[in-house]
Amino acid sequence: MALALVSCQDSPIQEFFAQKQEDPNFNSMVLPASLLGISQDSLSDQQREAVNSLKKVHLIWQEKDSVNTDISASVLQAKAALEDPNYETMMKVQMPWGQGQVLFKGTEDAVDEFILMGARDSLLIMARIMGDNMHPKYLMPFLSSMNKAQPDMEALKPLMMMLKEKEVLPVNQQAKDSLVE
Amino acid sequence: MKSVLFTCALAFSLWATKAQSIFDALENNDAVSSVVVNKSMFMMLSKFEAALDTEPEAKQFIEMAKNIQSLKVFTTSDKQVTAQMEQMVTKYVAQNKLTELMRARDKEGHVRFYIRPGATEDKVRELLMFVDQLSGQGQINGRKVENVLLTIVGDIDLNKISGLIAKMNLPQELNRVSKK
Repeated sequence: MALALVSCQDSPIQEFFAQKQEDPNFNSMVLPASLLGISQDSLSDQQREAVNSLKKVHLIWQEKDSVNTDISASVLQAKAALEDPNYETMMKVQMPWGQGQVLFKGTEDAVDEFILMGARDSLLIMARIMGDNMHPKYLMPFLSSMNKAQPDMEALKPLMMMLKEKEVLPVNQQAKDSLVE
Repeated sequence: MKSVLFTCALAFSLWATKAQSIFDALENNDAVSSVVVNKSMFMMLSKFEAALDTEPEAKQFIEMAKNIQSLKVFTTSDKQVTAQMEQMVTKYVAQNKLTELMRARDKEGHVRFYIRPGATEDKVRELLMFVDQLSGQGQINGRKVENVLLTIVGDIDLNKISGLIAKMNLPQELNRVSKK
């Protein structure tokens, strides 16, 4: 009964993602975990569990450009959506150079979804990381399995371009490798 | 009986969240930088740490993190906001019957610590720190920070707080509460 009530309840966060996916002023990308190209054969049991607990990642972002000269309204809208009672806030950061939030759904041992939001003057980016019983202990095995990943770069190109342009990711390949190490 | 208990628990949790809300206004103040970390984040951090090969320091952090309800840090260099913060602290301390643990003043500024006493002298249920007119080394991510309001709610062992300070990059002033 309680479960039925919860699942029927509209989720402002999910609505926000669905809405912005169709919005021409937003960029959107859905990444199934398979796109990371991690071959199952070479993984340890724990790595396999970790990799399999991730299903897909849905990204939406809006950049400040000649069309979207002011993204502050979108940031406010996003923050309002994050007040979603279906999700629990883990962390909120507000700094002069930007702000961010981390939320999750599920339990601390078995997370169904993580929501990440980051915003600054020129960029609003949100990620919905969907999985099945994701556990914090999987984070390290997951990162180590990424060493063996052969991501579908063609499919990821628009995302990588944006992240590099905005200097969210280090452009230097070596620096990137050391993050994964 | 069960429903009475439940109502009490609900009332208590409502009261507990309300008691903290006095500082929430600071989260939406543009002149304030803030970091708010909730229980679930600490639980996950401690589980994440526990899965790694742990050093003694990390173990201390895990033990501590498991029992923390929330951590809030507000910093500002705005004078008016600082005065507002000070008023909030005074009001909060009085309303929640916190006791003063320590008060220090040197050329770097004023530091005040308040606690909500716990089971023993070293264990507290809340630690509140207010730093006024901190200058010089006080930098968080390159911004000169003058004033800090920090509150930790949970089960806190004052002698084990150093691990938390190191892990969470908290202001060094906090080390003063440790008796070791």
